[in-house]
Amino acid sequence: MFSFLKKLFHRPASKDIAKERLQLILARERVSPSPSFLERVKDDIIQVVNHYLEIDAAAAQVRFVHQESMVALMARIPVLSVKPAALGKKEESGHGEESQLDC
Amino acid sequence: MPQVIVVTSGKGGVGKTTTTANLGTALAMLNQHVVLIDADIGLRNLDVVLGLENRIVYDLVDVVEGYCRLRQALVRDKQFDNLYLLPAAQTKDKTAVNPEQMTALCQELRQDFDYIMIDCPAGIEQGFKNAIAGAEKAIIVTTPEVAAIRDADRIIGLLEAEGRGDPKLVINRLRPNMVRRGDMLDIIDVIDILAIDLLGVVPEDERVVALTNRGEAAVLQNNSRAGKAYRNIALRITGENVPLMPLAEEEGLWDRLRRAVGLGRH
Repeated sequence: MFSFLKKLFHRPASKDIAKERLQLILARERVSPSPSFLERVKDDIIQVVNHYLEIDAAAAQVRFVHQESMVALMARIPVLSVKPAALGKKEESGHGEESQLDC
Repeated sequence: MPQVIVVTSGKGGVGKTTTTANLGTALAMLNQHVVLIDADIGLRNLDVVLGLENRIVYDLVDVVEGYCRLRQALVRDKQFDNLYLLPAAQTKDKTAVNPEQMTALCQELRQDFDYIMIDCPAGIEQGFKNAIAGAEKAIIVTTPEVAAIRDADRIIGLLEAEGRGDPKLVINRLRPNMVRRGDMLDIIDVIDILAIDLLGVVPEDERVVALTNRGEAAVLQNNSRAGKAYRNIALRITGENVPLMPLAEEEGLWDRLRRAVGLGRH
């Protein structure tokens, strides 16, 4: 009975729940910018990778991936071959970079 | 120096049009020359809120398409001869106008007015892009609710991306009693979340509905709390430093009882 009353009267204020939810939603959405922004990021990444590898630039994808409490930038760039001048091994490139976010 | 200000929100129904009408009227009361542009082509509303729906001859699209001169389309307010409305077209859609045309229109209006306020349609599509095109300042209207705040945040991001940063916030329809109970986000919460400067807070006021029924602005009523809040915001727009008015209203019996037995939230 007491715990019931306690529950009834000590529920967190609904506005605090609203604030917490909003902060979580917006933290995600603020790092979901326009497609043109991601296109620019992709073009720059391709340019850098191109120094070392023959890649299929047309099939490259760059996007944000939302995980539990962080947002990651995922680039998927099909590799055709290693450029002769470059060192390193040939592999499918999964390039992950964390962006700043704490939630 | 004329100012072109867009009133926007993202979400519909938070009070953009009411805010535009009241701020425009309040600025006119301060002897400023004001023109209000209804940019919501196809869904015009600013005319009815201002009570000017029967005086419309030409509209924004007629001007842009060259069917009439800009002067001919401007509808003068019933009460203030320094307040005008440029109505939206009702029979066209948002694609009837483009951002370049809106920019040119605002540029032309700068020659005759101190304040050009643009009532932006809800959403983030073409209508939004048209409405912000000619504006160098933006007022974001939100209510203290999750959906409205989320959309306001989106709009703030889009304005930033378009190089129109530094928008100012109007929190509309705040209910002090609900805030006191902890059932509505308070002013500090909303500013915390959106992280932009506050221009003003308008308390919920039933009289606004009744006044809008008659096509009258709340700012003309001395006993309207929303009207007072809008007059304060208009003063701030003109550069005056006006403190926030106290928002507390009469506590209801239930609130007093809850507080008496120690259940109220502070």
